[in-house]
This record gives sequence, C-alpha cells and structure tokens, in this order.
Amino acid sequence: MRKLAIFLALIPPLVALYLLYTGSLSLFELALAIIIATVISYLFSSALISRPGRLYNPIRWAWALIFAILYLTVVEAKAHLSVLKLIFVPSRARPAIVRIPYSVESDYAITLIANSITNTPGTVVVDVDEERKYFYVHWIRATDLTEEGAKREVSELFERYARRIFE
Amino acid sequence: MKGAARDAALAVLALVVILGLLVGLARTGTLAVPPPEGNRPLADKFLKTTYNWTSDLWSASPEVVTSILWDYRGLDTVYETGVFFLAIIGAIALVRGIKTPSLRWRGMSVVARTVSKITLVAIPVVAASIALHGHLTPGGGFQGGSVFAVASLLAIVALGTGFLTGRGWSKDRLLAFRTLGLLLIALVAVSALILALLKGEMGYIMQNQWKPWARVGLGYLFGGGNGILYSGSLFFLNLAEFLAVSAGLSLVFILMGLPWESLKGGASE
Repeated sequence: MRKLAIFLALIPPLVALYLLYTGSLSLFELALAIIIATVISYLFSSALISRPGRLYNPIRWAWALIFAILYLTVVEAKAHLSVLKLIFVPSRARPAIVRIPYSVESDYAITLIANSITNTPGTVVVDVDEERKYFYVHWIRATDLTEEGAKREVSELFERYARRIFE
Repeated sequence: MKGAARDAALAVLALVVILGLLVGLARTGTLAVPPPEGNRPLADKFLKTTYNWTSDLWSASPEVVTSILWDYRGLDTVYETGVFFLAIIGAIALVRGIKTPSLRWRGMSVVARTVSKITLVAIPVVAASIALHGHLTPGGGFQGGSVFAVASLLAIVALGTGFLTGRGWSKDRLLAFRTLGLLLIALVAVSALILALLKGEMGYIMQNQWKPWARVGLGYLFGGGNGILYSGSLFFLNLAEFLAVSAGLSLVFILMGLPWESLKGGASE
C-alpha cells in the first residue's frame, strides 16, 4: 500500500514537467506524459520519496512559498549587501571555516539548509558530516566562531523553515 | 626568474602561432566555407519533398533531418544502430564473467545525492520528450537516448553504481532492453514490406509512406482527419532507438564505472 502510494506520488510532478518541457497540452501529449511518468516513477520513485503524504500537504507548500519569497528578497539582499561592503572595506574580511550543527533528519531538509547557505554570498558549505550532524561552512566574515553563534548568524532561519517544509 | 621568462616567451610564441594560423585560415577563405554549389539541388529536393504530400517521395514529417535519417537513408541508420550494438557486445565481452557489484555504495555527500536524485527523474522525462517528438522538432531516438544515459551517468557518479545495480539494472536486463529496441527497429523496417507481400503488391524494406508504384504505407495521422501527426515509421523508429540507446549507453556506463576491485583477477569463466 505504502509502496503504491510512493509510486503514485511521483507521477503528477513528472507529468507536469513533461508537459512544461513539451509545451503542449493536447490529450495525446497528456497520455504520453502519463505513460512516461509511470515508467520513470516505477524505476526511481522509491529513491526519492519515503513519506508521500508530506509531498501533498498544502501547509508545507505554503511554507515553501513563504520561504522562497523571504529567501529570494530579504535574505539574499542582506547577504549581497554585506559582501558588497566587504569589497570596499576588504580589511573587515575575516575568512574562516566554522562548524555549524544541524538537527533535521530528512535528506531534503539537510539539502535545503546546505544549498541555502551556499547560495547566499559570503558563505559556502564545504563539507557535511552526516554522522555527527555538522556543516563545515566557509564564511568570509566570520564574526562568531562558536558553533551556536555561527548557527545563529548563518543557518538558524533556514533550518526553521526546512523543518516546517520537510520534517 | 629564468623559468618565468621562458614561460612568457613561450606564451608569446604560442599567441603568435595561433594568430598566424587564424589569419592564414581567414585569408584563404577556409573559415567560412560556402556549401559546394553542387550540393544545393540535393538540399532543395529534401526541403521540397519531406512535408509535401503532392510529392511521391514525402516522408510525412516536417523535420527534414529525421526524415533523412529514418526514411531517405533509413537503411544506413539501421546499419549504424547495428554497429553500435556490436560495440556494446564487444564491451560486454571484455568484462565477461565479472559480476556488477550489488552492494550499496555511499556515493557523494547527502546534499549532492539529494539534488542528483531530483535531476535523476527529471532528465528521463526530458529525454523521452526529445525522442518522441523527433519527427516534429530537432531530436530523435539517439538524441533522447543519449540524454537518458546522462541520468545513468549521474546516478553512477553521485549515487554509486550500486544504486543502479541494486534496483535491478543488471547487465543482462539492460542488454535485453537494448536487444528489444533493436528487434522493434527490425520489425518496423520490414512492416511495410510484409504488408505489401500479404496484399501481393510491391513494397520496400524501410518503406514509410505510400508511393504510386509501392502502394503500402504506414500512415501518418493518428485518429484520422485532424488527428495527431506521427509520420509513419518515424515515430516508432525513434521510440525503438530511444529504448535501444538508453539501455545500451547505460550499460556501457555501468561497465565503465566498475570498481577496480571487481576487475582484479580477470574473468572467472
């Protein structure tokens, strides 16, 4: 039953991707899309989805949308501004690799946090310790070298939203 | 200091040589070769017949390249596919007796693995779209199959060969799909001929559309009237080639990604 739900859960997004890429909405294309999505879902769905209910939870979608808007406007702008300042006052740069703990479980949540850190200017995740749950982050302006302090500055916001979206 | 001076001198020399060659090429007019005039009537003929239902030579497809590949010189492409198949047979013969590892390899970090998994399902969707619209837009079975194989390569590099072999992508199964694709191509290749023989008429191997002197064809509209254009054999050949190339290239990538340990000692057969 659960296996079937996982298999079915991946089909709609793949159908949507096919139609989007093909750029056509005829009945024939829809039929092709469903056949192709079924085959691909059969091949790979169990690797991608473990809890199909979460994928179709509108509350999680809403949090994802809120995070996307917040991240792409406020968070990115702030990070860009701080790196912009560093370009003009380079002596303030204090590059360091800090260790930042995380406490989420799912692969998607870890990936969202790590990619959010990397995508903002000034911070790059250079390694993940999956067993002890640490990110190793290169930070161009390391103002706090303690684990908790660095987490507060770099990844706390991302982790809060990653938990709401994926956990 | 002496080394730096030598580097600079060599760099300048290289720059002079490259510039000299470029100027030489440009001067002799070889950088912009106009197609030989003798070829123009050929292009003219293809462009004027492929999607022209008043022509006896039409292939019912607006995609001239696919028409040439699978219709005008269709037999060539069938042989090419055969050559590619033999190459894969050769690759398998090289690693005969060696088992593909079934243990779960860790692959890259969790971040790389998760992102790869998402692209892993997106790539085959795009590949299928490229392959199945080969008779309408640039692309086709081989192109689609090659794109599909990128997904396999991504899985091998980011998730480990064990990810694929653990899901039942064994040597034998992939070879079976590869062979199935080839059989389908052979079937489509002779289908018009068989139809013609059953009717007691003239027909050709790799025949696609109806001709006044060989009055069998594989049709081109699905659902008649204002139906969906499938261009006769082109759609099915692309589909079969997509299957064959996807499975064949994935198989070769898996063989190339075999860990050194499993090759030690050579074949056991």
